[in-house]
Amino acid sequence: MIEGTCLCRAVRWQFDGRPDGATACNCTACRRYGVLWAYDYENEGIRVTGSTQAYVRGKALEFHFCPVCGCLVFWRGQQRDSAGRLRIAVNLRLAQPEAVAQIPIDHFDGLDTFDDLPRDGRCVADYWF
Amino acid sequence: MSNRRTYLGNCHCGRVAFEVDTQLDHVVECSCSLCRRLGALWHGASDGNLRITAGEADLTLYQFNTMTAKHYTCRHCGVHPFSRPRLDPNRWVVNVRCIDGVDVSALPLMRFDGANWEAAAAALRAKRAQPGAA
Repeated sequence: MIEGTCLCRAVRWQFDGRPDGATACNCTACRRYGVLWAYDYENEGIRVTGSTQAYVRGKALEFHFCPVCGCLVFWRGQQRDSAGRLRIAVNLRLAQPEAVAQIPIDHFDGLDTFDDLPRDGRCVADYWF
Repeated sequence: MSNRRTYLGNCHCGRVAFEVDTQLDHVVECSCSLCRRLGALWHGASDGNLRITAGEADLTLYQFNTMTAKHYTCRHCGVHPFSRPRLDPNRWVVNVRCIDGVDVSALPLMRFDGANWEAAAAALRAKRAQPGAA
């Protein structure tokens, strides 16, 4: 299980197991947030605690950040799927670096095609030191 | 990318906008407990070379540890456009991620080990004090 916290520790996430990949998305929001995403469903593989400020973007999803220290913690879908679940993605940059360093980076073209892009051999450790 | 010009930046919701006059020839990645979470790619600017053109009242200020640096976030969308750095709080560091039209992956990356701040700052100051240093 991996954990992440914002800087002031008001908001925390838990991810069961270990993500296969850390997604770097090039859309105009993710580019600015500098996030690396790992996905699951709320209160299944991912649990989040603490008070967040939501930035609602369109009808699909909302970004949640700590209103005190400004760290972007997760995004969550606005619509439940057919099984009643809410999709959620947590920001792996909030974990201890050693816990996520070796996770490979997946690239996603959120700006244009919404396609998965090929891996380039980099992992999270290449995105920070 | 090697000439001095004015770059336009903004948060995501559009409330906060800035202009920075600079030669955008590198970005800096810091390993401190905040910057590593923000994933920010910094570029320094003097006080007069950054202008906040909209949304100054939409910024939340956060300070921690020595309470020297000032970290600003848009209170609506959570994007972090700039800070006053601990190294020199009379200057700015701009988050180049907020500047559209710049291929950040093409810019040379410098690393500042803010996780070990005193040693990193001493090393940077020593380097800058050398004759002929940039």
